[in-house]
Amino acid sequence: MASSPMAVLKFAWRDLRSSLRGGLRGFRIFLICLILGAAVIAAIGSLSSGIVAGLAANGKAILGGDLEFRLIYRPADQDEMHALNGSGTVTHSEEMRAMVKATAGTAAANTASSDPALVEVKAVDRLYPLYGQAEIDPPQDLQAALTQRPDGRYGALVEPTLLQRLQIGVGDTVTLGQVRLIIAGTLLHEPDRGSQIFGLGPRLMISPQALAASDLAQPGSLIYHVYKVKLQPGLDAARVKDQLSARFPTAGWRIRGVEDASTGLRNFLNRTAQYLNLVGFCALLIGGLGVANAVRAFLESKARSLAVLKCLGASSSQLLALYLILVGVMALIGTAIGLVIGAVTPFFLGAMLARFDVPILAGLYLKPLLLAAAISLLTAFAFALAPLLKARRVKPAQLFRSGPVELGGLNRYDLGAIGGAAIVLAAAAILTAGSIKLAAGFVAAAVLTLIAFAVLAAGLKRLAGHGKARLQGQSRALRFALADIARRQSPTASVVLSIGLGLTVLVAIALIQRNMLRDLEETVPGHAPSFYFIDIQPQQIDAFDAFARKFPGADDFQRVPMLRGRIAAVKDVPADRLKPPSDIAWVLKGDRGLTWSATAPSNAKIVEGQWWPADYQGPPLISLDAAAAKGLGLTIGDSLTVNLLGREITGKIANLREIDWSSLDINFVMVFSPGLLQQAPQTYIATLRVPTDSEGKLLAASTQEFPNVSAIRVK
Amino acid sequence: MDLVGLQLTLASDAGEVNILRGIDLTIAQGETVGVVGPSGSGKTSLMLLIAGLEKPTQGSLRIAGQDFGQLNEDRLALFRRREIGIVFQAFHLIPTMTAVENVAVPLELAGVPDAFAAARQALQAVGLAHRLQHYPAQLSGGEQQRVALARAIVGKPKLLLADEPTGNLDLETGAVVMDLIFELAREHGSTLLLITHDPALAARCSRIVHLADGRIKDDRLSKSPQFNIVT
Repeated sequence: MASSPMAVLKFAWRDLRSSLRGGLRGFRIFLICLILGAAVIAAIGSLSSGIVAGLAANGKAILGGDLEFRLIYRPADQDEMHALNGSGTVTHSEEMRAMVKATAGTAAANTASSDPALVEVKAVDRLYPLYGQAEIDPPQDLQAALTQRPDGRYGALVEPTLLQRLQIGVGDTVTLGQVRLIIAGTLLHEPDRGSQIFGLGPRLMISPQALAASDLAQPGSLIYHVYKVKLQPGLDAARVKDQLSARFPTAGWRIRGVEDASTGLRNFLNRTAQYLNLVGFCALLIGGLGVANAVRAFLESKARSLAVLKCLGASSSQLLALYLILVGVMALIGTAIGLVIGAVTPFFLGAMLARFDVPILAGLYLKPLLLAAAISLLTAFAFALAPLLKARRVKPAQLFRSGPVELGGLNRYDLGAIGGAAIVLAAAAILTAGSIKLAAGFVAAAVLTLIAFAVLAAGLKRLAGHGKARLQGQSRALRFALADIARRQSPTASVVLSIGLGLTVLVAIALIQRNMLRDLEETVPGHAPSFYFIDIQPQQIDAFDAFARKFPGADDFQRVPMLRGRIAAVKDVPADRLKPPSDIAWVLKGDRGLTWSATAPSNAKIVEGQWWPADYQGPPLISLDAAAAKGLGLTIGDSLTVNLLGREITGKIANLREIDWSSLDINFVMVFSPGLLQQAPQTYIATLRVPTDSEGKLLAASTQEFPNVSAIRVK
Repeated sequence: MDLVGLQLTLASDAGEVNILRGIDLTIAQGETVGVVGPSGSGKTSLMLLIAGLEKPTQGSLRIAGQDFGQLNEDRLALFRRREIGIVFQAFHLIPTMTAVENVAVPLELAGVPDAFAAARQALQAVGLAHRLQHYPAQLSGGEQQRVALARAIVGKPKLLLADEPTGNLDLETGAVVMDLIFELAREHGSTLLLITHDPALAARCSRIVHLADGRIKDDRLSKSPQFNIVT
């Protein structure tokens, strides 16, 4: 009469059915825990897959073309333009930051805010947009909206937030530099907004003629010339990109294809998914404890039946198989329900996210669902293993003695198996979380917390045991309570663990949220400047200095030249062939602000090398951020090449500075020695601190006096 | 069944307790043996050792040619499944299973294909053919013990162990159950080891073993056995 696996399976099925006859009872908590955990992880995975698919599907519309060429300071020259036009239809837009102001004397002037506002100006030509549609309220043709009116005003489309900020409405007039604009409508959807990497203010869309009339585009002004190309049929974007890069190696343009149209959004998505994954793991960790408790309670309630089965000839492995199957079926049910909830989430949240211009392609994404299923089942298994192993070691002799039937203990093989399952679960969590460092930290913290509470529970049991012995003859209720806490099979450990870990996670999430908020509020240090002023023209510096110094309450005035350039090569290796660590990658991405200086900035902390003599006029030397140098593998004497206005300038590293970016002082990754850079077209950037109550006045006065200078409020 | 120098010592908070202090006992196939003795004399412990549910501290135990000292826990379970049926004082039916399911358990664990047919037969043999689909809670104490008896004999065990089988039943019902136990043991040719406080019940066995303080105080043939098939 040898038992076959089939017989065990049949018996397990009968036992499962008979166990469920009494309702789900003990398994309700088990199911809720797994459903929640699996649903959270599946939802996060499905949602980010949906968004990634949405981004891919809408790549052309998000980028606004098949290829994008981005230049700083200068438009494309004749040769470059010729090459671009040769590959397809080209739309040119100019982007810069500027200040707008509600115009006095108009209908809205009485109610309008007198404070100017920082806007992201985008001047688009007549071919814009190549892909997608702008959504305008009231509905109208985009090009018609931007034309010049008979009274000389140019049409402008703005994001609704600008109207709120200036307290004006459609039809009102605003001033941008030297030009007056009529608000023709609000821009509800700008087709290629998703490809913009960083925005400091609401959008103001105008025509190139309006921008020219504003007089804001001065030599050296921080202005981006963006060319979007709709390729001729049959042309391959990657090939065109390679060809044009090779043909204009020093153009200094940043070329982006559809696949990197939404890097900003993607990065944000990855970080958000990482954080949410941690929340998911917290849910599963708590859920796991719930699973362990539920399985333990269920098996304890069955301890007598388990002992009977052993008396009737069930082997330990049969018992383990029986209840493993039962727990497995329950885990599958819980996980499946959780997956369904997670899978439909993108369908429900799609509409909500669409309002934030996040495209989402709702659908069934198998990979995140499988991943969530695996993590959920692994969690159920890892956390149910201890009670299952205890169940198989139930001592049937207990049936013949008075007293309750308790589950058995764990031997070192059992502990090894539990440890192995925990390691597999931890490894799965770490490998699937997106950030190995973050997940490993989470796992380590979870393990330490579990150990801390296990030690606490053991201590509590001992203390209760001692207390019970000392209370002989006194309060009976207290003695009974202490005896129950101290008894061998008491649930003290699981109660302490569950409540402790649950509260720890709650407090941790609350603290993280609070710290993030406080970080945002408090990292703006007390001595931080009130405003950054950008795009100060060289001929304006004397007037601006005088303005800043005589403004009542002004303090800590700093002004330095600023140029923007891209790192083209590191130690003669082209930047696009480098793979720097992720926390330094930003230095190579896009263009960086840089400056030159004869003397070391007052806030500079030189950690290696020497600053150049104040009268140095030799070949370019560079003072570099120490962290960037470390990430790029640079030391004193190494060479660094920067593309500035299409010209490559190579300098040698003279010293390294340690920069505290959180100070919000003016800081540059690269500071050049004077000489070559002095001659390049440049603007100035300044910071100024004023008492909070005069910030509005300063903003109004500076915009009035220097309409081309943009002021960025720090706090 | 050969028990030689069997000792059982259990650890407790108050130190070691000697439960069995050297039991030598030989029982032939088909014998019915009543084990009597005061509480704490070691009756139940002796049964646990014979059922392979406890390991002796010292001594050897051989049943149906099998030396228990050579068997691990799982092998003992397998042996129990094949050779031993147990009737408990407190019935110990599985509350979530019907009568027929309860009786079929040992056969199902053994992978017997027609477990339910055999279970139905066994229930018929104890007079419960009309209670197949009832749950333990829907049965009287006597009926529950009859289901437990059916479960014990359904695998046609060589050894039937009964631990105070009438302890939780009234006199009349107890008598019915005992009649059934004797009858079924005889029918299957099973050896019966009956643990009881009741001298009259023990007297129905072919042999009476008297335990006291962990030792055999007396071992004699019954004067008025219900039946005797010593081979």
